[in-house]
Amino acid sequence: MSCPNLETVAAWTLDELAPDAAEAFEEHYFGCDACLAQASEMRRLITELGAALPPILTGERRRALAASHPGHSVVDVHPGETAALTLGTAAPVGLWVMHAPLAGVERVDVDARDPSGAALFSLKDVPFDATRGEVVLACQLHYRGLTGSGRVQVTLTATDVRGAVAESAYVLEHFFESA
Amino acid sequence: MSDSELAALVAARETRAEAALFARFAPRVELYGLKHLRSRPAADDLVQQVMLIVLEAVRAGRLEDPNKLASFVLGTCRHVTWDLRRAAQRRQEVEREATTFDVTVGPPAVTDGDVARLFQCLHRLPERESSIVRMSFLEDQTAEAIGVRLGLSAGNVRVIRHRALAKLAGCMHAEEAS
Repeated sequence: MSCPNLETVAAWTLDELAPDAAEAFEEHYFGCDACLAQASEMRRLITELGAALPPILTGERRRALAASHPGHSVVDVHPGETAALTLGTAAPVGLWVMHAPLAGVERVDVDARDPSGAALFSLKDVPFDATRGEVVLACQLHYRGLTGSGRVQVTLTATDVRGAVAESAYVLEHFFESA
Repeated sequence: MSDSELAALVAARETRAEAALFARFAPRVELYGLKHLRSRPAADDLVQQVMLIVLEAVRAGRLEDPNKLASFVLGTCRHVTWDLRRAAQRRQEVEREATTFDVTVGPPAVTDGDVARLFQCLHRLPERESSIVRMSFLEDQTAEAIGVRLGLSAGNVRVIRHRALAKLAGCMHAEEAS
């Protein structure tokens, strides 16, 4: 077997390769330094993804965060409002709870821009709590380089089961305390 | 140094050769353990047990074909993994505890650069690939559930996920080097 492509390495790492192909790859990487390095990097990437704080939290991730970082800041914000969140080494994680009318909604998309209108990120079909009418956006100290001035304009686009679309906009201001 | 040269030096009780044998094979065994046993402590256990068995066999000259040292280590890995799995199954049957949610989230031991690189690379992926990676690893959804949301088969979601991870790894590698 010659060195497989990275897609095969990803499939092996996730245990999604057919058993005979998985065994062939194992026989190969036991004798190949380059493939060992690629497979180690792939595992590191998947571990990093699993440990990363997602931008939009599911209920389970929010509960896990509350357990691992008790006392993190939570800022509620309603459509049309501007709110502020301060992060620092003592409080490295904070949550924005964006409230919106989400009853009967099937899908929510998130779009974030800086004050000049330049796109920061855009996420399609994110987790949301229809009953409570909440979309929870997590922010962490590590994002400080990503938010530009710290002022982020977020628009939630909610599509309901009948295809009707409603937008809610928020201005989220981030302040980062230096260490 | 070839595997057979390394085996010959270990059999001659060269301590530096033993360290080299460990350095060559322990990371391979560790990766195998992380994939098949899905836990860090179990993978560490596997490394200890496999390397001990291999070292003793090579020292005692019990290796039939020194050219096949890598195959011997892998074969030992497979046997010990099977034993460890059986032991873990027995332990689980005895314990039967309620499952607790143990995903740790929040800033792990990473730097601003790591996080920025990861999210920048994620955003550079085509939209469908980026969504599948996010739903799989950041929102813990199964391939089946993602397939329902995106109108794809679970198999298709897996294939797109492999492609996306390959691109993401390539992007991370390029960004790290720059």
